[in-house]
Amino acid sequence: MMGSELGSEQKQMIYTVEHCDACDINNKRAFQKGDYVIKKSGKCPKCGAEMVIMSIYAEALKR
Amino acid sequence: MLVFQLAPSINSSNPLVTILTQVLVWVPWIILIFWGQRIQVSISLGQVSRSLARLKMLRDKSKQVLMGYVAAKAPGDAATAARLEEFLEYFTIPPVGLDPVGVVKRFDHILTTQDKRIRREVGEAFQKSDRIERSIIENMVGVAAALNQIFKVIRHYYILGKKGNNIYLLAQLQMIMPMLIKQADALVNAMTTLELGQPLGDGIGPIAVGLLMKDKEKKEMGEETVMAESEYKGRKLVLVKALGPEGSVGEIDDALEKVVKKTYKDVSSIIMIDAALKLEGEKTGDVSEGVGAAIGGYGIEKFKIEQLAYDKKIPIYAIVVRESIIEAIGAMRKEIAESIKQVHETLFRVIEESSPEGARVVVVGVGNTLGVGQ
Ligand SMILES: [Zn+2]
Repeated sequence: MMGSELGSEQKQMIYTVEHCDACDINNKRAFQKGDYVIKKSGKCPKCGAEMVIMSIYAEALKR
Repeated sequence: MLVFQLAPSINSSNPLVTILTQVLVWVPWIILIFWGQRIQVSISLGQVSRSLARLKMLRDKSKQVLMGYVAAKAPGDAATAARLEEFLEYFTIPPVGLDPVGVVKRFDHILTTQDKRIRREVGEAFQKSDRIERSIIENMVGVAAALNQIFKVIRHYYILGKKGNNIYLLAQLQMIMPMLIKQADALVNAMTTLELGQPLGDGIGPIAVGLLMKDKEKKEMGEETVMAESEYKGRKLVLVKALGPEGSVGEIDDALEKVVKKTYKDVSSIIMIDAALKLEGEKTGDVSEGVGAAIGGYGIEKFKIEQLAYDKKIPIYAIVVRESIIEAIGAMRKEIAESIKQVHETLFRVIEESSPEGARVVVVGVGNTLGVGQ
């Protein structure tokens, strides 16, 4: 009935998506403590510009 | 009923078997007639007490997470831990509605007092913590207190039902239990989300506005809110959200009042972006638009914003992202996070359609801004 809900029985993984404006790429990685949306999160691996966290979300782990 | 037909044919020649068959049929029948309800009560009692035990376990777990977090921030401070535990029993008495004139103002006053009280207490106990950690503790106390309250109310009705052998009361408890357990589960999971400072499903409004504020000059407005100016196709935008990334919803109503009455006198429309409860069957992350003040809570902020808009004759437009209550209090799900693009498309369309060039539009992101900066 509630298959769509993320209950405690369903494990979830939290991801952080960083974005580089210069090369317009997204980098999805595991969430780290201290991350928040619109935080400057480090250098872009391609061009070295500052990357910004655009989104943090939970995704259900496929069993 | 099959037994009735089979009974004579099984072995009608042996009278012992016939009698035995009759006993097997009639004894349970009579028991059910006279004690059926008693049996039903004890079955219900058993089920409800199992669910109640689970609720208690969830309440204790939330307390444990809270105390664990507190112990990490203020090690060896037993007095603070004890004080926070007392806060789980903290109550707020809503104002009397007998004379409804001005009830919202009185309610507002009471709730503001409550917020300030908890904030001061947490602030004094955790002087070394930053405001993000303090806001997390405040949120955690709120969640743990909610779970404590749910458990205590359900226990109350369980004991009442048990004392009076009240099948109707127990049946009602039995019916709402699965839903309650689901919500309690979600609340406990939310404790971990809070602890890590991740955005909640409810944070979609602040994210939508926060992303528009990126690279703009931000101004703190007090009342835990932040404002920035922007521009879209000749329209002057005033962006407002709660100050992040701490766990706060901000006093959006007071901030809006300041913006509309003091800072700018030429606001032509207000657009509110918020998460809204979906109906079962609706898809999580669906974006829809409408009119009216999109803001939850007790209705105080809603009242004040509606009044403000009415006084100034400013239209209020709403853009909402659909999610269930469980999704709203839990970590933001992918479907919700991915609705941002559509929220922005809708927002810009509403701005273009509702306001001419040169008009000033206030865009408000409503919701808990935990894990969402600006
Ligand atoms: Zn780059």
